[in-house]
Amino acid sequence: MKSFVSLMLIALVLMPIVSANMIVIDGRRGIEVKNFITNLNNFPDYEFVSLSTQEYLSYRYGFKKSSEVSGGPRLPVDMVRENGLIPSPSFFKVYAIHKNDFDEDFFRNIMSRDIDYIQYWANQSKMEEYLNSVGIKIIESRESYGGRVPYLSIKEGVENYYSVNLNMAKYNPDRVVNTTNDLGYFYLIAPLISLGIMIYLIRRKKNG
Amino acid sequence: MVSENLILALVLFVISFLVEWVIVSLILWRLNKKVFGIILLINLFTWPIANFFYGIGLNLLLIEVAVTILEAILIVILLRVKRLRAAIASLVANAVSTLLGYIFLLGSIGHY
Repeated sequence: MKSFVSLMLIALVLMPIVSANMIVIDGRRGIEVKNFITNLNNFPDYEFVSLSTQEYLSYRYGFKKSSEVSGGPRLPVDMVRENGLIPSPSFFKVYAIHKNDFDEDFFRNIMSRDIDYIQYWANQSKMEEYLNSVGIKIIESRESYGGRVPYLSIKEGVENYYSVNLNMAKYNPDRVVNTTNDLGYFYLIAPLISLGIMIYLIRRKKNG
Repeated sequence: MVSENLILALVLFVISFLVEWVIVSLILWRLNKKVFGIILLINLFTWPIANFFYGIGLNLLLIEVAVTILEAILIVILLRVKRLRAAIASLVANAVSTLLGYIFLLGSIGHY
């Protein structure tokens, strides 16, 4: 037993030295943020377009974004998916465009990657003009729901649900659901079992 | 399917427990299975709760103070040792395990 303890002590002294070189993590991890429109089917005559305002601003200040890696600059504009998923995590606007006014070719051209920065700015102006003229702004997210949590946090992600109408823009989700990982079971079950055994031991000591 | 987070949690729990067990055993000068079992039980109780509260944003120092006091009380009750000795054992064990947690999870001490 004593030799084992001695080994443990040596390990304790060596562990920080070894770990400092092997583990390079900052103790926190990002969480996934998803945004959904829940009543997309109520508007069969409309197309929904999302514009990531965060990425938009990044371009303005000259930062390159991941979308540039595979080609030239691309406007951060996307269609809302059929299941209602908005393809931006935070800081975005969603516009509803009537199908009669929706110009698919315009979008295809404007979202092309084979452009330079001069074209990019021209496209940006065109896009703003287009969205303001034919689109109805239904969501504007001005808050970041992301962020980083400690590695051992039970929080895994955030899902925001918006129920939209065409008369008024929404700035906050109607429902926010925090998704969790399986650590929650460990954090609940282990202390309960341990507490049960400790209470049993204390009672046995009192009785005996 | 066991997640990466759970594996990491289990590894860190085992390290934290072993560190505390060795330190408490040395301070109490009791190297036996009973101390091993009791420290395991105490850690199984406090470690997940501490990590849960840290995960939801509670102050680490506050959590560690609460854990140290709670562990000292449990050591007194379950191992029947003097209060001062239990308090010292709990304080040293938690200080060392927290420091190691910093080294493992923050990766900043001694590296940058």
